[in-house]
Amino acid sequence: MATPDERNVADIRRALLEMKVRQRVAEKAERERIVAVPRTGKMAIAEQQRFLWFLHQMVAGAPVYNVPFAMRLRGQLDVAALAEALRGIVARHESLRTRFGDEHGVPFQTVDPPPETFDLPVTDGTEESVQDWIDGQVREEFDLRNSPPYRFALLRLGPEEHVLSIVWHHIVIDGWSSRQFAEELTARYTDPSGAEFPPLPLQPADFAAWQRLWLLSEEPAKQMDYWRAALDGMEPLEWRTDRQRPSAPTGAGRIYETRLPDELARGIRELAQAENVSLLALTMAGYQIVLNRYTGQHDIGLGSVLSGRTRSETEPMMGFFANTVAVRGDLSGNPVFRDLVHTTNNAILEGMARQDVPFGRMVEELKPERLPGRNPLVAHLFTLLPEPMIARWRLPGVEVEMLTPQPGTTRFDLTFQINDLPDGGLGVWIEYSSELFDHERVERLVEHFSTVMADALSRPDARMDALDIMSNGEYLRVLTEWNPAPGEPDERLLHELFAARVAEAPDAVAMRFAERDLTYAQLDERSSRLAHALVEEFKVAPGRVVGVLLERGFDLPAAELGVLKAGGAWLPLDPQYPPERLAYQLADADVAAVVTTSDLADRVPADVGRILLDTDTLDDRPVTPPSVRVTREDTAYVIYTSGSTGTPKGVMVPHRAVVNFCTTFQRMFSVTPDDRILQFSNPAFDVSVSDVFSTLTAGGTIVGAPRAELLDPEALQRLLARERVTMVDIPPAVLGLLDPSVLDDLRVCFIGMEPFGPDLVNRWRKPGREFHNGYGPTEVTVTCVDYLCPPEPLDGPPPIGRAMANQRAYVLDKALRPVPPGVPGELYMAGAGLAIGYLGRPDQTAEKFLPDPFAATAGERMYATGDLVRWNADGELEFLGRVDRQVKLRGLRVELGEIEHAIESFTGVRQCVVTVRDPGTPSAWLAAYVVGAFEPEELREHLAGRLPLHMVPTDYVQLEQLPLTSTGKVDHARLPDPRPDGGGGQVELTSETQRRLAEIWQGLLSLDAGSIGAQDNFFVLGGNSLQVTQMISRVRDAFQVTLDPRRLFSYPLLSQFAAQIDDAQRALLGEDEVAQLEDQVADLSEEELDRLLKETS
Amino acid sequence: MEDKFVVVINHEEQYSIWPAGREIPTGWREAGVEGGRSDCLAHIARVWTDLRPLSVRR
Repeated sequence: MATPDERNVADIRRALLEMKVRQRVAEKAERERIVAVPRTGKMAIAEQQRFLWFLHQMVAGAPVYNVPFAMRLRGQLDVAALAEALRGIVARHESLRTRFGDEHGVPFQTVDPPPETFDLPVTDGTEESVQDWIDGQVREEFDLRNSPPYRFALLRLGPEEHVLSIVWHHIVIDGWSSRQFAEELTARYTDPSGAEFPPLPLQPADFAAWQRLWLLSEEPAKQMDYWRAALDGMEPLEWRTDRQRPSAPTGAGRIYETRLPDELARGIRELAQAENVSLLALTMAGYQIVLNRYTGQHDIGLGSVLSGRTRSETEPMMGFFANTVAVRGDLSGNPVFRDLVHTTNNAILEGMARQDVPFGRMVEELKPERLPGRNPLVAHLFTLLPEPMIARWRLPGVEVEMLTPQPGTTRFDLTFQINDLPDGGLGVWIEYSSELFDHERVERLVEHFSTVMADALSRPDARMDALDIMSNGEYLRVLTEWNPAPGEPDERLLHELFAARVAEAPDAVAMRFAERDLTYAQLDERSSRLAHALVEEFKVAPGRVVGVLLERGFDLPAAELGVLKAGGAWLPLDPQYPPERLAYQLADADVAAVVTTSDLADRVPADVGRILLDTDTLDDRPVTPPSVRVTREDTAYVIYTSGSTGTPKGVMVPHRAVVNFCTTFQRMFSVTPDDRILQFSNPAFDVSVSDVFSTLTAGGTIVGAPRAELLDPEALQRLLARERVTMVDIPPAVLGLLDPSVLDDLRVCFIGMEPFGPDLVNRWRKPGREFHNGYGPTEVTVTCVDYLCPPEPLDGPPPIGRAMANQRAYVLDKALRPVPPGVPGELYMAGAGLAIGYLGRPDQTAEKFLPDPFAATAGERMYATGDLVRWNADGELEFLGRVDRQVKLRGLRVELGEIEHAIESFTGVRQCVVTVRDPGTPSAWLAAYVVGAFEPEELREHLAGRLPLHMVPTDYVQLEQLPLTSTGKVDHARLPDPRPDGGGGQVELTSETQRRLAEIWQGLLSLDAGSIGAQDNFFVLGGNSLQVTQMISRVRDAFQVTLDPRRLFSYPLLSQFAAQIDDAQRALLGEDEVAQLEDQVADLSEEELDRLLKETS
Repeated sequence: MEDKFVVVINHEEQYSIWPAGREIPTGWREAGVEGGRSDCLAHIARVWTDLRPLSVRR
């Protein structure tokens, strides 16, 4: 036991320790407290402001960060009291008296003294001018360096009717502050003394000073560690926009405001309360599901704005404290909705606890890939404006009605904000890029959000995938209304349709070839004779395949018809096929025989039977068809397609499908016996089936020609004119080579097979001539989707349209659910055009021909086309590319087909393929292999005007032709290396500007001297937004030119940016002076040049 | 985890596959095989010997 003395010592020790602890805590708190700093001239600004200051300069004059409030004031307004109230607010809050500037790329703020007098500008206006006036107020730029960051103005409509506009720059005020502003305005309007509002001990400049110290402490690093881990590898949200993102976006935007149905709002509040989660978490979970359906992504990163007022001292201040944080949703594993809500709630709580790291700082630390015109890290916001932050604008004795000014700009691609309204309702406020999204799309977004929320509220224990984002009405629209109503299909067989035409007009001309005629009767007789030979000598019957190996001419339709009359299916074979391919197809299809001619017969393997049409073998055969029993589901022809993988597959197309195609074709184009239809397509492709049988079943005339004549544009042009061709189905590239002015008889252009631009249509379409964009895989019989171009000129590529008669088009996601308009999905086709399947390949047939869950009749199938499409707002399908050609480039989804289309739309380009080199690495880049005559620099410029910069290929390789595999697909393995020398030749710095710029970059980015080459990208080297401004100011010091920071985003390569500097220097001097200098230099001798260069360098 | 499918068959004895656990479209029934995509397709390759619809087989 301790002695009293000892106890005493222990007590003293303990007391001493307690005192020391107290002191330490107090000291620490004192150090962490925000304290007033001296008002010296140039003061630090907060990090949030620094980032906004940079963005403010990036948008160069656009009112992107102007925050407007506009309200109609009805009643007796005391204008003087209003002005005095505003003066009082400006006098009390330094933020409204702050101006900004920068020195050597470092921004600062200065605070002006309180104004003695205050002028509230009053303008007279009319009712009609209100919207323009409030828009004008918000759209005017703030000169933050020289003028106040606010603009207050009054529009006088009458003695008791005014409109008040209050606009400020976001750099000084945030959402929280607007509530304070409104409350202070109300109070001061009644009591001009402002007695309620004592001077503030602390102002935003004090916070800024405090924040600078705080940033040096351990806390931000800890918060940053959290963010680094939480956002590691986050996928950018690849929300497919309505329009291609421009390479130089203007930031144009719109605001859309609406209100959720009250019942839904009530349900949302109740569930949030019951689950003990925030309104933000519950609504964000629903929004994440909508985005999952839009993008197919399970990693959904959204920005959300938090108040940033984590310290009590900041609460009375009017300033910019709000901060954006990223909330990452993990939707993998098809979670139960209720669980997703809690996961989201946790993610938000975690983020809130670390919301002090300014967003700009986070971007600089995490260094996400910077893309011109795209917000870094998160381009989409989902945020909640809590009730205590909603400004209540009130003036005693005056009725206040809020108006919606349109700044015409947007800060993000899209901000979806839920307003927690004081009346218990939930408002929706959306600011979106009008360059990317249509207004209808934004309205539908709210519909999808409301639908999924309502569905989730009714069954919170449902799994995410089970929830509907589409309403019944929308399902009905995409599945039924946008597909043709079912019609009565023609029950006959293909050759029966032909027989009917023979009976009607036996002497009509069935085909013209080399200026000779073949009549329907002659064609009928010859094909009947062949049918007899096939039946008698080769036992051809339904289900058997007969090869047709013929050059173009009268024999081709005769052979195809002959096979049909024998009950078999014809297999067209191209005489140009390599022998292996020919042998493979003949064996794979187990042909009964091959119909050919003596000069081609040696191509046919010895063990395969043959009929030679140029011998007398048919002479003694009957001229009426043999009697065979064929049904509509029997195969009429087999055509081999080269699938994306493996060997070619024979597609079996039944009579039902081809008859439906031919009868539809006839109705669509009102084909008559007077029509003369070009047979252009290679007979081995199914477009030739259209050329031949659409014509013969309508009683028209096929116009054929030898291959050489068709492939020579001038000869083809002469052929079309001479034969007065009325309809063509040719590839867009071929049509593009022809002259439309002299082809008056041509009344239908049925163009397809590959996408094309608007110019072709505008050049060819004229009154009396229809221009169609047709689409169709062989598996759905020639063409199954069609678009008739309107009479007005097009300004973009035409859509592919809608399903043709008796067919249905579905756009489905990976889970086989319909997707809403605007959302990409795979095209599935169902109905009368479907093939039977792939010959001898039950597994591949089963994989591509799936049960149709949307069919009106039981047991139908639908075909997965592998093509990526979307419905546009008018219910027309837009072709986007192949499903399997999406690649990732530094985490961004890139559609190679889209780039190829853009390249192929360039004059002189015939064909191209784009590939990713070094895929999966940070230095991955795109190489384009192009066939045609073009200048790479011009092509690059053309693309930069159409594609987002990350989609513009870096290298262009000109090829005579693309290397093909034996199946006719591009052989990627045989594409040459675009940089055979490792690219070393291109990297060298070639000008003094480049060398000096490289030094600036090296210094700024802390890179070794000599490590930067001319083709290096500023952002790939690690440059961030802060360094952009610093770089611009160093360039100004070194070259005496001031470049717009945005230029770096458009010209991120060192060589490109150096060229911008050169251009700017020349522009500074003017053309005359440059010309003079050029003359002087031109006159110098080589010795003089040498000497001068040595002197200056 | 590989997605599961079931082998399905319609009244024309045409085979196909369908995501397991999802309601099977009208006119189709399960053929008694469930598994990964490739397993289901391999089964179909064995059993579906005549691709023609039942109504035209003779």
